[in-house]
Parts: sequence; structure tokens; C-alpha cells
Amino acid sequence: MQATNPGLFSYILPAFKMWQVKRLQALLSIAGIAIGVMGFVVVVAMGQGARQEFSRAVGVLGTSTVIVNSTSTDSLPQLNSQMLVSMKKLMGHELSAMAPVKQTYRTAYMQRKSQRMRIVGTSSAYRDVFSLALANGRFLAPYDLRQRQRVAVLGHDTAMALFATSQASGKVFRLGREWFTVIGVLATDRSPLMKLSGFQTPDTARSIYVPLTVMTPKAVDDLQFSKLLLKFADDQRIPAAIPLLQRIFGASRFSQQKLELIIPYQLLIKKKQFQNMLELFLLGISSIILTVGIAGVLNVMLVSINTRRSEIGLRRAVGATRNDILQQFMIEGLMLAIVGGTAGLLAGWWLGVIVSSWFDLPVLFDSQTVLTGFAIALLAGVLSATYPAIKAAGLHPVEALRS
Amino acid sequence: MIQTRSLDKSYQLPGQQVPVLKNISLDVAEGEFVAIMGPSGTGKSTLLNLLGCLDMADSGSFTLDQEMISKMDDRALADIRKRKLGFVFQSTSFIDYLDLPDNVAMPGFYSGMSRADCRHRAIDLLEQVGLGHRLSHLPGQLSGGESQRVAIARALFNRPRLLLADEPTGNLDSHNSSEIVNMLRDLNAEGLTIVLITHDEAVAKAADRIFIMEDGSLSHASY
Repeated sequence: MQATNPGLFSYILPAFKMWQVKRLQALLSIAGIAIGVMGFVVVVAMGQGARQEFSRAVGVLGTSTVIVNSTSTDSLPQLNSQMLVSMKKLMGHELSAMAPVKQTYRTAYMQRKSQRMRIVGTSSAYRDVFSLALANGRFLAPYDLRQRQRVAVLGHDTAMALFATSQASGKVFRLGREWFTVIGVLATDRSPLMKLSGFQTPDTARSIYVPLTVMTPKAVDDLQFSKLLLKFADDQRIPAAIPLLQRIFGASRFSQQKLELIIPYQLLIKKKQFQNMLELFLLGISSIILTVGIAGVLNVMLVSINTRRSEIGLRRAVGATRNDILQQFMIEGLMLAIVGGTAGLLAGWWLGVIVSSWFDLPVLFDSQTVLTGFAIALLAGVLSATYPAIKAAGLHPVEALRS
Repeated sequence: MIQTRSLDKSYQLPGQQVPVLKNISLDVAEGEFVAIMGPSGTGKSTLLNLLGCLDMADSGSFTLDQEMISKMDDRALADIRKRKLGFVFQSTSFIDYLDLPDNVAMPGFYSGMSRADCRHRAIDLLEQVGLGHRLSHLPGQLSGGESQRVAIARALFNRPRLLLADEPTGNLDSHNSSEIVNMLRDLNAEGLTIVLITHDEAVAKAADRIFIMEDGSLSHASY
């Protein structure tokens, strides 16, 4: 008669019964693995979130946008129409779009509703710089600026707030004392808003775009504005263009810090580098936690085997082979890993939600993160069970029974 | 049933070898009830471990139920223990987190029996030893006498050919002790071969033959 081994699954029920009796021991092991997996999952999910935010922001801004920003607090104009003309002359062939921007806040009225809105005075090129899509109607046209047309393009949320519909083209509303006609509504934009040092991605959904010329009583060719958006045809040309830009705008204005050049792509890269370092640091911490967790499980399993020597002897006496004992303890270790890993994933997800809502950090769980986290738990279980299991299987039945 | 020839066994201590069993030759016929007596530390338990295929002799031959035990590996020994042997120990060792039927069914676990069949037979055996009313208990909740009855039920689970009992009454009062002895005698009457180790002459007298173990050697008792 050949020896018949118990099936692998037959070890599961007894293991659960053991946990029921030795709760603290089981809990410690599970917690060790769970905390390690939780740390890993949260760190990776934060990294993934940052990466996704980065690529979205690059999608919105492109890699070839440069912003000339006036930082002066006095009323002297820093950017004006003459500069636009020089820009066109000197750099026109390098640029694919160039948009002046003047920004203010005013109250918009629609029947009895009123709401404070961000008003962006700009030109038709603004749409090209940010690659904005329209839900309906059209964007500002050069004609609107020349003729000082009181027309407006609404962000999606603005249209909903004022007219309760995105089909607002042709409707009128009031800004201060002046009436404007809606000529278009932007498509829904779910890109995340990003604050980088000195620069914020435009909150297009909650803005009203009007011709720059209607915001000032000055002549159409003598405008002043606070920002100039430049889109380069080739982002490789940006570094070489910086000295030229400084010449056009007057180098002294940059040195007096009345003007600054903002290159969002570089800011994004810097932010990403910081996030990468943070990620590496946290990954280091979580692998330390995981190592401590594995050591804890190893210790608990070794203690468990010491206290279960008589059980091992008994099982050997009634016919268990070394292999049967090895299997039993490996499966107990794997079960700890599966339960601990699952608990760790759930706790990690929960912690991720908290981190993203409390600290306003992007957190993204994808299936790869979850699978890797679980694989790490299994690996931890196997690693921490192997040595104790081999030790248990190697116990001589007589020695084991003696204890 | 049992046939040993010149079994020797010694333990290795640092710097010296301590002989425990010297030249043991023992024959036990099928259906016999044999008791081995002697002071502690003379090698009784070591002999029982050899007979129980838990340990191997250094030299000599051992045949159990026509199988040459002295030449077997770990796997084959485990198989012999499973199919032919039942153990009752002095310190009742149970698996403390399993209930009584699961403990009794432990030998069945390693014989490929289904769990339902295992529990069914375990419950039958527990009823036979008079513990049918304590099925859901854990081993820690039993008295000494009850524990030994459970141990006997477990030893009988795989219908062994040979029952080995190491001081089964060592921790019991006289009433419980005689109850266990009666149980062993009944089993022997049904044809089970039994080898028993004991300090207690009264217990040993239940056996057909009594051996005295002294200083690693076995001799017939004079009573």
C-alpha cells in the first residue's frame, strides 16, 4: 500500500481552528505582513498618481509653452502692444501661437443670479496655446478684438452656473454694467488643476473669455496686459530663445524681477524629480517595514513551532512524513500571507483615500500595483515560513514527543 | 508479530557514547499482551520507540508483522506507523486547537480518508470509550482518565495490528488506572497485540508475559 498524502486544501480548516485558539499569534503575523503591504501599496499608488497628474498636465500645457509674466505690483504697464509687434518681427517664425492675457474678477449677472467670475481678456490665439475644445459655438476671433465686440466664451461650469445649460450660445448676460453675448461654450475639461511655483494651470471650466480690447478703453493697438502666452513650434528651441526674449522685453525688467519667464514644462520636471525622490524615500521606508514584518512573522512562526513540538511528534507518530509536516507549515505561512496581504491591500486603499483627500495628493491604484502588493505578501509568507517549516519537518519524532 | 535480534542503541553525548539498549532480542506473538517493567532511565521508552518505528536501532534486526523495519527510510516508516501501529503515551499529547473527534481522527488525516468519514469513525470510537457526550470539547477540558480514553480511541483509529502503550496509567488514580487496564484487556481479548510499559505491578499483571528492563537489557520476570 502506497502512502496517501492529505490534499493541500485539507490543511486549511485545521489552520483556521488553530488561529481561533492562538489569536494573538495569528494576529501578529498577519499584522506584520499587512503593514508591509499597506506601506508598499500606498507608496506605489502615490507615485502612480503623481505620474498620471504629470502626464495630464503635460497634455494640457504641452511641452512647448512659455509664459512671460508681469509681477510688478505698481500700475506701470509691463507688457504692451509694442512688445507684441517686436516679438512677431524677431521670433514670429519660431512661434505657433502667441496670446496676451489680462485677468480680472467681476460679477456676472443673469436675471436674478449673480456670481463672481474670473474674466480672461485675450485673443483668438489663446485657444491654440491651450488646445481648447468647444462644446458649441466658436472661440474669440480677430474680428471680435478689432471691433471690440462684447462677446464672451464661457467655460463649461460657468455656462451651467449662469444658464443651467451648456447650450448657451446666443444668450446674453451682464458683466458690471455691460451686456455680453455668448458666442461659444468650452467642452467639459476634467484636467486636474496644478499649482506650480508662480504658475497655475488655467481653470478653464470656471472662466469667461472676452476680447482683450473690451477690458480697456485704450486704442486697439495700444494694449496693456499682465501675461503673454507663447507656444513654440519646436520645444527644442526654447533654451536658445530665452536671451532673445530678455532682449525684447528688456533684460533689466527681468533682473528687477518685474517680469519672469515661466516654463511650465521645466517646473513640471522639477516637481516630478521631487516626487521621484519622495517616492524612493517612501519606498525605502516601506521596504524596511516589510522586512521588519517578515522578521516578525518568522519569529512568530519559529515560536509557534517550538510550542507545537508535541503536535509535530504526535502527527509523526500517527503516520505523517517529513513532507506532510513541511506542507502543513508552508500552507499555514501562505495562509497568513494571503490574509495579511488582503488586509494590507484594503488598509492601503483606505490610507490612499485619506492621503489623497487630506493632503490633496493624487493617488492612483491600478491592477498592477494591487497584484504586485499581493505577490509581495505571498513572497513574504513563503520567505518567513520556509525556514520554520524545514525546521519543523526536520524534528526527530522522538525528540518532538519528548517535549 | 514482533521479532527483534540483538538490537543495540546508544545516544551520542558530547565526548561520549551512552549505550541505552544492549543486545535486545524479543519475540511477541500475534494476539499477545506483553508488559515491560523497570526503573526509569533503563531504556524502556527507547525500546518502545524502536518497536513503534519512531526511531532506528544502531544495529540488529527488527521484523514487525513480516516487514523488515531495520532497512526502511522515513517515508516507509511513517507508512508502517500509519497502517500497523497505535500509540498511547503517558503525557497525553493532543492537538490543543482541534476538538476531540478531529484529534481522534488524526491518523485518518494522513491515510487519505475523507473528513466526513474520519469524523464519523472518530465519533463511533469516542462513543465506544464512553465519551460520546463530550464530542465538541477541546482536549484541554478533559480529566486525566478521559484523556487516556481519548488517546486509546485515537490509537485504534486506523485498526492497528499492534498497540504500544508507554505508562498509560502513569498519571492516573487507581480507579481510572484499572478502568484503562480493563479497556486494554478487552482489546487484547478481541485479538489486538499489546506491548505496555509500566511501573505499576498491578497494571503489569494484566499482561500474558512480563519483562524486566534493567540497565539496557531485558529479562523475564520471576512472577
